[in-house]
Amino acid sequence: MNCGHAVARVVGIALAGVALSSTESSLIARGPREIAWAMLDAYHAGRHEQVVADLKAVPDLRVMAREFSRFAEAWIERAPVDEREDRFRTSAVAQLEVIRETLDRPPAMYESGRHGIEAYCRKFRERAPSPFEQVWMLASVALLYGAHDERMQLGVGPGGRIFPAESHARHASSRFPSEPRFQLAAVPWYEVSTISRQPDDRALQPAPGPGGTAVKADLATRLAQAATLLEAFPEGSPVHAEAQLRIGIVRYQLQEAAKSLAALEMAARSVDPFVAYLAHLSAGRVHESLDRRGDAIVSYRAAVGIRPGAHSGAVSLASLLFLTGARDEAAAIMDATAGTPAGVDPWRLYGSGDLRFWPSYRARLHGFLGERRSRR
Amino acid sequence: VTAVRSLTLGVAIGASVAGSAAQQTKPVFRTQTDVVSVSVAVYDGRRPVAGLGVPDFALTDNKVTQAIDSVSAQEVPIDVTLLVDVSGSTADHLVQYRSDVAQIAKLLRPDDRLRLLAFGTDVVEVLPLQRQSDALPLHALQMSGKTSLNDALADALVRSVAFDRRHLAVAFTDGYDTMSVTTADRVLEVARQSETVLHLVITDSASIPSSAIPRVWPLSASMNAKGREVLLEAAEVTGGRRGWPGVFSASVLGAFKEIFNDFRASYVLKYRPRGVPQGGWHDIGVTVLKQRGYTIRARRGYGGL
Repeated sequence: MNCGHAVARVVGIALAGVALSSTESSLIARGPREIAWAMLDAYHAGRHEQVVADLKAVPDLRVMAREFSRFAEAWIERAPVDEREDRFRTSAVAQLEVIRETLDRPPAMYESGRHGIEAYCRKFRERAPSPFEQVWMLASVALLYGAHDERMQLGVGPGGRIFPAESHARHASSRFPSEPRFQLAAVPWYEVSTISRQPDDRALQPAPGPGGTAVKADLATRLAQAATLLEAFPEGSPVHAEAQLRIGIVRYQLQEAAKSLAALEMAARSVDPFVAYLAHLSAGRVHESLDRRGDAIVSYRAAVGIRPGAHSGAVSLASLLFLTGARDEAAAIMDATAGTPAGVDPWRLYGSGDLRFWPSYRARLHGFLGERRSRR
Repeated sequence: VTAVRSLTLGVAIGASVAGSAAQQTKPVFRTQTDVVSVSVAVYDGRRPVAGLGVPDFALTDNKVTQAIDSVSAQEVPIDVTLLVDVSGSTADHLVQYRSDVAQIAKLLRPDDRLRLLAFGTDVVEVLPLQRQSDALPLHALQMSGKTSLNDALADALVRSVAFDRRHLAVAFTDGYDTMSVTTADRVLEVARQSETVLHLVITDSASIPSSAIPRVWPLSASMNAKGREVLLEAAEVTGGRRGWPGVFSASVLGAFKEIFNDFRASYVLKYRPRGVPQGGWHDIGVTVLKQRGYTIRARRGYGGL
């Protein structure tokens, strides 16, 4: 991610139900700014949920997401000097709320939000690292990973600019070198996407060839490099189980079933049900690839046992049972799953990286804001 | 008049013995195939042919002529599973989908039942299988990012079908999976064994080059044009049809009406396999005797257990 990325021109916007054209630049500048200021005032006063509700009512968030940091700058400048740092923090968290909302919108809206993270990334670098910034960085990495699927739906293809999350995680890691989540997030998620990557994955770039030209690594090489990086997380690391899960999936893609199962077995011991579920589910897939349907069923049952309402495990188990003749049980599993509160299906979120942690990061950020608010 | 088509048809019911009242409500699938039930649609041009009975059909199982026990038609109640794609790529269709689903529900008879599965990032049973309801939870059809089409199809295909009913599944989708744990090949494998007749209505006929379709998740291999072709084959192997609204009718609702009316007019042939080994794949051939101009559409076969 390039934190110095320029803000692009915005054309053809409908914001807050008001259709605006590119020729009405004065309206664009005034309307969204006033809305942003009102939201910032409310957020600064601790009315976080009200702001989220207001955002949901904005039909097109592209201007808000792209220009929010600029609107916030003016909002901060209006305050007395001794309140400006508080306002900066408020606006930084509110910016994330805007971006989070874009994730629930059609994919075309997301790209605008990325600029907001870039803008605040620049502002933080003008300050000394702080616990607040660390949590903000965790949250922003989570949101960027949460968005990458959406961005891919834009059709960003080979040679396109994709996956800023890893670059951003590397920037964050340079600010907070002891935070393992940044280190884990910075290992490219080749196992999630096979789309060609832009060559800013410096950590994984192969050495220049004899002629001085970087050799483009094929997917297998990249996967192997990623596995090596993931294996560097020691057993005592808080992200060890997640790293093992990723290794298991990467090794499966490399058709190294035994290594894959060994890693997944370690991941399955995780106390984090998200990780344990995916480890069992993935082990089931590996067993199936080895034509060991009995073992696959055992793995799928373990996954379903952890998250009975998760559709991915249920349909994996049910379809395999169906094919092995246990049709009544297969149908019963799908009927039962439909009637069970689903919660989060880890399979559906795995490709979104740390997005699952957004609610807890958000709560921690609100805690920081609340402390400052109580002192004012 | 179309040429005579002796399609290989069939269905897998490794099924219960007919006639037991207890088993009519809860079929018992055994480890051997007792009764095979074949849903057969017969057309004269585009018009369904009505009024046929046992003497009008000939049926073979792996080329061995079988005695047909019964032929039933319109009196058999239908369970309909609608699968609605609510992924981001179909966002423009969502309002129309809600309206169409409401209209579709009104087409059912009092003894028919409807199930509604919405699939986007996840698969959600919006409406459990039930008889007509005035309170369809259409508000629950909400846009949801990615597309778990394969998972939804597998879900519908493994549901049990009561012995005294038929199950029709109709999926409305742009046809590109981006999220499923289930591969397209697995859907096809399940379809070959399922009693459900699956129709796949592709709502977006635009051709998307497979290179532009992202693979969001590593273990699903269906996110390309080949995957879509496999799914379309899965529909055909169940005796269903594949195509775009323009192929069926001018709209999604029109497509469903056509599918549903044809299904209602189709026949259910039941027989007990004789003279063929139980295991392995069974090709089923159905012909209408004394009529050479009819087109027949049904399952291609079933996998014996």
